[in-house]
Amino acid sequence: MTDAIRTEGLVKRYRGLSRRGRLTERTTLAGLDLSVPTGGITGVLGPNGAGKTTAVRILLGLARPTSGSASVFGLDAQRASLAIRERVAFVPAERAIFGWMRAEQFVARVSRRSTRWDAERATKLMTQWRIDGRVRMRDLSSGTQSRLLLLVAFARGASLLVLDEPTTGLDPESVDDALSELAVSAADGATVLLVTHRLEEVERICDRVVVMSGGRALIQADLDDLRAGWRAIELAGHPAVDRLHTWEEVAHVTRFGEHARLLVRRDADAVLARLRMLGAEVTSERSLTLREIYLAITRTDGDAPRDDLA
Amino acid sequence: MFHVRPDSGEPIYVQLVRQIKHAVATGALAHGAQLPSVRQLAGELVVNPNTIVRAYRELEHAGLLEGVPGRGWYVTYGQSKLRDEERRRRLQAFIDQLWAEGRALGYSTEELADIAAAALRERAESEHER
Repeated sequence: MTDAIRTEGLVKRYRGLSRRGRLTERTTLAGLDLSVPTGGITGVLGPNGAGKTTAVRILLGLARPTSGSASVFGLDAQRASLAIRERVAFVPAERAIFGWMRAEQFVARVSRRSTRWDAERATKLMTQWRIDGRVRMRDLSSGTQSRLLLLVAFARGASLLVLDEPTTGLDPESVDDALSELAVSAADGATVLLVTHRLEEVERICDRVVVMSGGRALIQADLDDLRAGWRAIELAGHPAVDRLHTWEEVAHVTRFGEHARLLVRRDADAVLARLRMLGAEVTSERSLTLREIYLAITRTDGDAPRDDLA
Repeated sequence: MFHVRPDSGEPIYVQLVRQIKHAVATGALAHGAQLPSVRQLAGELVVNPNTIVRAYRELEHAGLLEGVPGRGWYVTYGQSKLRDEERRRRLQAFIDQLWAEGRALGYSTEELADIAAAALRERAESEHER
């Protein structure tokens, strides 16, 4: 099956002038290779400036890459951006709204442009989410504006939903409502790309996770596999503790006097066996939360994007 | 009917498998009962639909559910076997407790067996009279 999203060696540099009038170059994507299979919910995590939003903008044809390629359902993101946008529902992080338009006018406008509009779902969500269609969009609370944008995204019957921080500014009940609809869309066969900082949302609802940092994807994996692979191992009295960080499976070593904690990214059983053979006493061993895994990945490998002076 | 805790450290599908087994064992889900659709349950529990599918498949493998293409998931008659196991497991917990309490009170294991048997016979007789 064609991947829903695929990028190869995607690079994006922005050029500008510094305050001193010198030419500056900022790299937001530094060779991004991404593949998101069709179906399922993929969470995209990463520190601010990791390049998440830039990648999304390029995929939707809203920005041009400096080099590399990007495609959505096999369609080239630059040449076929109109065809792509017909199949994709996008909720951007910065909520652009037509302030003067009444909520119901906005919904009607999107519905006219959507070939697979689900009127029943739109009506149901208007009621369920208590959105008054007669109110002008600028007069809606920011939470309600967000819910309205999510509503039209869900009702469009899109094959791919791209949601950039969709739950920012929502109260906990609305977050649950939004994620619940997201699960329903996925059950109906839509592919969902959820860009978020909220690890608990990813843990709850995603089946795949992409961790970006410094304009690259550090990890893209099945969430269960990722969690099954990582392990924290605590040791006492290992003679060669200073060299453990050179082991390929070991992502991170913290020392406390005679004790050390290793974060192991894979093959934990083999690592344990080797440690015991070397005479280390393993005092504890446990799996990691997604938060711990995320921090280990981004702290170990992730360089923040640099502002290089040309 | 079901609820999950994503932060409990136990994978969500495992939590679901356990709860569905429990519901079948207690009779809350009887033979032939239809389970909520994947779409419905994913929406209600706010979890990934693939997680629900994974739980249902696992239960199908265990002979507890049957997926009927285009119609949904049903509790099947692998039921009696699992139900016995689950019932037995729960009963065993009480038997273990009886033994531990009895020994602490100074009874021997043989004495406890006699006392329990006599008490249960008495129950059976009073049930029979009614």
